This record gives sequence, C-alpha cells and structure tokens, in this order.
Amino acid sequence: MGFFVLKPNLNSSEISYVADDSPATVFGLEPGDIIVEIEGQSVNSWTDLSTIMSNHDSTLLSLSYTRGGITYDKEDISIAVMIQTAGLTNQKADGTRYDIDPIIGQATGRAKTDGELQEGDLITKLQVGTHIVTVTTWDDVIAFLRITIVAK
Amino acid sequence: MTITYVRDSQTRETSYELISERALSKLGYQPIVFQIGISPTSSFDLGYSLLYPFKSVGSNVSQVLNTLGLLFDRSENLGIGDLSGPVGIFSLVSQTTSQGLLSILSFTAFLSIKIGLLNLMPIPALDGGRLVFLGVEAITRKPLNRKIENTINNVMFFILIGLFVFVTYNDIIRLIKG
Repeated sequence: MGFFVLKPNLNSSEISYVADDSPATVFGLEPGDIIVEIEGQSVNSWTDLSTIMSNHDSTLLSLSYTRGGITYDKEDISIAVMIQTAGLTNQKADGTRYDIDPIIGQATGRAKTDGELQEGDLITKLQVGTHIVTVTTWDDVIAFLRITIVAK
Repeated sequence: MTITYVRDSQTRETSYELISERALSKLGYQPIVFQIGISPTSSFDLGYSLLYPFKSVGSNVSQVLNTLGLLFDRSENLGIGDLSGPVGIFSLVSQTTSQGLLSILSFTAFLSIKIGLLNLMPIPALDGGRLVFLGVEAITRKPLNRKIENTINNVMFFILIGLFVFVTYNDIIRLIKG
C-alpha cells in the first residue's frame, strides 16, 4: 500500500490540487500555480507556507501567486478556521463560510453535545475563568482563544 | 468556557469544557487550524514508500497509547464519554469513504492495529490476560488453579460486555443527535 503513497514535495510552493468550493477557488488558484507571498511574507517552500499559516490569526487572508510569469495579488479573502479546542468552525457543512461575523458554521464534539450550539448561532461574548470578552468578529474569537490557550 | 450567543434574535448562554492544547497535540492536532484547500505537489520516492508503512504503524500505535494515556490522565478532562465504540467507528468510516479507497484502506489498517493492541493488554478474558497467566505459569512452573483463572476471566468478560453496552449506547445517542 505504501507504493500508492507519494512523497509530498515540501521544497516547492507549487500547488497540485485545489479542493472544490474551498477558499482556494475564491483566490482563483489552479493546479500548477506557485504561491510567492502570504500576508506580505515571502514564500519559497511548502514549509514556509505551513509556518505562516500556523501563526495566522484571521479569517481573512492576502495571498500572491504566479501563473505563466504573471503575479496575481488577492487581498482579504475569507478562509476556513477550525477552532479544535472549542469544536467550532466558520465553515458550513456545504463548504461556504461566515467570514467576518462570528456566526457558527458547524459545531462539533462537545460544542454540539454539551454546548448544544448549532449552525447560525452568533457568538457575542466569551468567558474562560475570569477572562471575559465581547466579540464582534471571528478574529476576536481567535485572538481570545489564543490567549486563553496559552494562559492555561 | 461560557459562550453567550444569539439564536432566533434571543440571547442565550451555554458552557462546556475546552479540550486542552496538550491533549490535542498528543492526538496530533493543533488548537486552531486555518484551511485554504490546497495540496503540495508530490512524486514517487522509493525510500519514502518503503519507510511509509513503518512510520504509519508507529504513529498509529503511539496514537492509541496516547489516547489511552489521556483517558487515565487526571489533569485532562477527557473521559469515557468521549470514547468511540463500534457504532462510533462505523460513523467514522462513512465519513472516510467520501475520501476514496486509499483512506478506507489506511483506516482499516489503523482499526486492525488498534484492536490488536487492545487485545494484547493484560486484561483477563483477552489474549493479553491469557499471556499473563501463561507467563506466571512459566515462572512458577506450576499450572494455575483453573477454577480461579476461569472465574477471573468470566467476571472480566461481563465487565467488558458492560463497557461495550455503555459505549454502544453513547454511540447510538450520538447518531440520533446527529
């Protein structure tokens, strides 16, 4: 079975596959395109791309890529965020997303069973321990959870 | 965590426990993940293909051990209610099938490793328990009292069946709740 598994080429930032209805299609990305910049930081490999994405903190993303020698710049396009620690995502089951407003696309695990949250719920306030914050965007939710995760 | 939210123009409140970063990273997840929906290029590499099965078995084994470790870790809030039994596994499979044959094959392999490892645990009524009894016999060079061995096995068997019923009940509830 190992022979069906191909080795990912992490030294290049060339794309081989674009998922249907994914944020990538909104960016206009196609297989063969090479990503050169994300959020103003230059990208030379897939490893660079992963590093930048793991430090990212917004549901909006700016990205530049080249195709046939031409560079395309796309700004503030909504991407999917999965908050695993809380079982929440901005992406709906049909693949579309809530980009700015912190409306739940899908609730999984405990968020669904214990919290009884569901698609369409608009998050307005979060509290962990003594930390309380009013949120108006997904970015607020991400920032708050990043802090509380570290604080734990 | 307590969340205040608006549903049908009504403000409501709910709370549930977060899964810790440590537990997530032990299971191979990051606390917050962004997705664009792209994959890197890949090519056939003999060395990679030859090593892949061993790496993959290794990571499956460590995932099973980590999960068990987390369940018994008092500082983590993961409990038996988060366990996935036979029915839970079924609904996982149907999610996997949409990703193609290769994922079904690797998932089947993972299941088989998982069941094999659990069977080797030193629990009476399982093969691991039988091995312990045989080990004791090998050291003492005397056969154990079969009556006692059978009683231990039978008692454990009913406890395991009880666990099986509990986990299946949780799974069915999960299926009904969606």
